[in-house]
Amino acid sequence: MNKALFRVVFSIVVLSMVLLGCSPKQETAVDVKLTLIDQAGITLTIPQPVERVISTYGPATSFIYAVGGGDRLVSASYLGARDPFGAMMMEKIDPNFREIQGDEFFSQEDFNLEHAASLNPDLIIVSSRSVWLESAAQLEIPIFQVFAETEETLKEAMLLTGEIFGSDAADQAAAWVDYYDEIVAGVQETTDRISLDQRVRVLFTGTEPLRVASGDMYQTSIIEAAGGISVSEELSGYWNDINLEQVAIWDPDVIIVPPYGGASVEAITESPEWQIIKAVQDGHVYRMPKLVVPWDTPAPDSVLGIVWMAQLLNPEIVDIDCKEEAAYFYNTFYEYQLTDEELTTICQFNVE
Amino acid sequence: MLNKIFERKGWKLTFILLLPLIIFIISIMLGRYNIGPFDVIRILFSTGLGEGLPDIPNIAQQLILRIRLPRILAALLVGASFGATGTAFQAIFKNPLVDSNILGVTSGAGFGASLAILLLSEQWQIQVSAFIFGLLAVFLAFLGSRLYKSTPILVLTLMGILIGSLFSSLTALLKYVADPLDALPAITFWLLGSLTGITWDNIGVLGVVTIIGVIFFMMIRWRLNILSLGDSEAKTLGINPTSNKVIIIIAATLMTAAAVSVSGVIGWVGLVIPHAGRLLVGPNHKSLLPVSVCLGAAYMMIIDDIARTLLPGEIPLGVLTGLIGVPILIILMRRNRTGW
Repeated sequence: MNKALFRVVFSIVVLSMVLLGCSPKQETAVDVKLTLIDQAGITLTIPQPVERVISTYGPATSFIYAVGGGDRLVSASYLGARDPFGAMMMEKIDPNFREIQGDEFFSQEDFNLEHAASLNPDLIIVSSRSVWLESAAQLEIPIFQVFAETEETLKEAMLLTGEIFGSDAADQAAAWVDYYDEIVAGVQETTDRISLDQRVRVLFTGTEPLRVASGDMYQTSIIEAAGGISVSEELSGYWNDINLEQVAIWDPDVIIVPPYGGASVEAITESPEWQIIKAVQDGHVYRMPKLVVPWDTPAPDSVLGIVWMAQLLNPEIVDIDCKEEAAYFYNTFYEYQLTDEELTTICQFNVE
Repeated sequence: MLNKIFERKGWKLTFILLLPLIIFIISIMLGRYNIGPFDVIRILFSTGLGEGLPDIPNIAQQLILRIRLPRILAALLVGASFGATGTAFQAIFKNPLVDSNILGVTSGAGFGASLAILLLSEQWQIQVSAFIFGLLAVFLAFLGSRLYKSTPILVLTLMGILIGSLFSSLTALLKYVADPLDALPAITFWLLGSLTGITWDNIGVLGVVTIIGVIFFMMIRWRLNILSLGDSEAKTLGINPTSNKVIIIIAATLMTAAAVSVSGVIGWVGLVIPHAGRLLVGPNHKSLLPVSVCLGAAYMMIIDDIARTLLPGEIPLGVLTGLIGVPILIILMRRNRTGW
């Protein structure tokens, strides 16, 4: 008796589950899909329009904001938003920043699968160097890999990001590429006249004074685009540790420190040992500016890095103004109106 | 015949004892910035910092006096320290496979430095933190061995290995949470060892501790012979093995912590330099200890010369010590077949 009852109940349950499962899904009117090749060379299909995006890579997050897709981020890793100033500015740019911020779940090393799944994303944008790509693929959500380390790959990444976020975003990305090319061409036009031996020799240091940017790094492209010469161009790979004797051989005219990782101008200018270097004697040690994203990283903001550096290295001949360009840039690409005070703060050469 | 051997050995010993001086003079003339050897000597003998020699560019004078000189001295001191402590530990542990890191001092220092890199930023803070945690690791190993009543040296070794592993795991944890863009490369670089950025400010403590430590070991080196025979033999000869070993461990730990806090983690030297010494002069600590000190000093200077001159970028010392040392040791082993 009991058994029979159990069978009946069981059958009803199973039947109802099957029936419910088969019930017609709500389908979008037209099933639009975008097929493209990402920067790791993988062809992927992305549903259109994308509505819920996770970005696990700080620079990629800035691409998304720059093309106007910031409101479609459900969680993101940010670049340069860890220091109080960066966080404050990011909150001004996007009031939802604190809720979206997902650095504790997503980075190049970490990917919290459960959390990602719970956000129900339709696209995950990642660095091609992420260590967890295979496990993330188990979610069967499209993964777009970014590899933007040079001028060319940065432009490509911007254009692809634009394409993913729809036609308005694509126009915005194209506008950024045009703006970048315009700035570089404008600077180049005037700095081309400077012969190689007349160019300002720049050393770009890292998070510590004796760690310098190699010739493969984007920082070197910025220096060259601004009409200078990177003294550490001969090095390859990533940041290189060197000794002061090598700095003395290079004998740079200008030293630039990055705006992150605790790097400071004082660490160089107040060191007795560094006093032998000409740039230090002359007081030519500067800090690269940033609003949120540091201007020396391969991100949309780096175009201002070129502007700032061109003005710093060749003030006599380059007709370009950091404040003017920064106001235009943040207004156009982040829809943020910088105050005069903010403009003065970020564009100055000597930051206290 | 006996006389002849004595002569040969004496010549060899003299040469080894002079080796650090020779290497020091060669090292000070080597560098990527080209300064003629005679100019280097003139700069060294000129009084005061700079100003003295109008015909030599000021930058060259400053480089020699403020960059090269302290760095080469640091290499010398670190090498001497590793040579002395490695020899002493191999004697009191009666084990040719140990060095002063067996009680966890280097692992502790590595953790201390990583922690400071992560939380603080100044060079001296990293140095102090490395030093303190190096001592702390050995102290914990000591404390742990007290839980056990008998066979103290074996238990102490085991505790040292355990505490060392504990600190290595903690360091791995710090590396995992460190920012891959700034703290992580700094920690990795520190854990591979380097003397780049050494100035006079960094080597004060190292100099004092190492010189006092080396003098101490020179004075008690005859005790090492007795202690290496075993505890009962030492007692028979009127030496308290436990208290002697404790004092030696404290001295060696202070020396190693001072060295590692400046140079970063450099393995291999303390382990293998005593072996090279034994191959050259035999196992008697009367000559083995000074020989190990000198070989260690000369070896570290050579390694650091390569690290700072070969490429525009610095090569980590921990990479070079083994890469260059192993072939040398194999050649030595082929030549002399001496007992341990």
